[in-house]
Amino acid sequence: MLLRAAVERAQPDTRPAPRWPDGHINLGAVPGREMGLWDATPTQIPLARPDVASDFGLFAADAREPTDPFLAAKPKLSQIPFQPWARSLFAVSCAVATGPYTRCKPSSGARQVATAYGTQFYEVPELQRFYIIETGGAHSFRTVFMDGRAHPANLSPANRGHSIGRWEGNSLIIDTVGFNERVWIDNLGMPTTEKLHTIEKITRTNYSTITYEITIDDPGAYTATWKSGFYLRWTPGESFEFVCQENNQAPELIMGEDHIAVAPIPFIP
Amino acid sequence: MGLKEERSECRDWPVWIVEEHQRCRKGCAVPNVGPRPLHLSPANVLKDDPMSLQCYPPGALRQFSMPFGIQFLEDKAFNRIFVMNGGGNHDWHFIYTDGRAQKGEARGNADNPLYYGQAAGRWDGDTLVVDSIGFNERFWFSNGGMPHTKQLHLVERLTRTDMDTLKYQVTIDDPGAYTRPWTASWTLQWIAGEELPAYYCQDNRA
Repeated sequence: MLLRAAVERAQPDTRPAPRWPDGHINLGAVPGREMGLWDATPTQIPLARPDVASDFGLFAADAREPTDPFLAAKPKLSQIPFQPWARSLFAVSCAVATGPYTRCKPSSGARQVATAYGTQFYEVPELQRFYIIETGGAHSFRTVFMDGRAHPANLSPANRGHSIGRWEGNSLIIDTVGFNERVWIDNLGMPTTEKLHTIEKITRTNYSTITYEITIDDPGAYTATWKSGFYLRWTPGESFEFVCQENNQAPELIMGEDHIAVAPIPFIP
Repeated sequence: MGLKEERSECRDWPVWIVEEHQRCRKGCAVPNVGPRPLHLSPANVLKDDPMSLQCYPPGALRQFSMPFGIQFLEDKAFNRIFVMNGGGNHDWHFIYTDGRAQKGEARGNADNPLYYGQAAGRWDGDTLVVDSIGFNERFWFSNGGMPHTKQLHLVERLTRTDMDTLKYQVTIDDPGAYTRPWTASWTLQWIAGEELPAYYCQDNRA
């Protein structure tokens, strides 16, 4: 599987990104053609250590020097502007890795987009909404309001916050605030606070590739705004009924066999 | 719900259900999940309900009687309908309207018994008719724990009779649990201006 992925990456897809009749980019399947999902990476890579962090992590392992310009722009762990407490918490979160995702809880930001078994991007123009619908993980969805509304003034903090979106050229821009502090926005537990504000930029660069970029602005946890991102790959197939609560294999698949019996610790949601 | 009301409600049920109900009212232990989830006492709901206890999906018709609402997204380009749950574990599933056979899951999986079954929908005039089979036995299909087996076959009819009203009617055919098909119905009310809440059952679980 990895070899095949490597070959695919070496041969860029020359098919253009599909568009709807009104000209804007279609981030989903094309009517009359194959159904598909967006996959971030194979899910069978144990992530017990940050130096084997998969492509959908928000930082590049220090030992890796990606030749791809997009991936090379991803910050290394040493470049992430943690506040001291956040750096300490991340060290624990990353080592224990018993994130909410592994226990069937909803994630947001990059972690939702990079969920296992693929993600659907579904735009409903008549409702002026865009939906991010995951197969794995919590098998849930996030609603992005595309009708020009602003964020409400008094949001109750929530796992997925409040998302508003707009098209900016060929990119979908999603602005989200209103997070609670229990949510993880990545796979290894980058700390966040209720001050978190994310801006996601989703760009389908060709038929089978999306560049997913996320800007993280959280003055409660970081000393500066920072950016990261990864690729999403179009994978033919359909989503299916997935129930994390049943036969949950996340501890084995994500954290490694040594972590199967690890219980969540008090300050990791 | 008081005892008198419970007994009245159970009166027309198969004898074995009533007997089990009465036995369990005396304090017996009942399984959380399994082929005969007989939890008829309100006191057992939070203790034994797979959805409340373990955040399993509100399978089959239970999704249409949940707090926090439900949303339909009809994807006409691909002949399918997303059914999005506001309550339960805030999950979703497909009703396929493309005429596919009711077998197998997408990606070529085996015929795994499912929480929402293999749901095949079609329009019959102004009514969406959904025929579903292929259920597992690990969920309660009603809030009170109505039993079912893998033989469960549902025919649901959803009719929006006016702007604010969706009539829901379901015929339950499960020869493994009931002596004959039976039908229930209720209405769902459109709540203008409301969004599905950010509710997740999992939030209160480890």
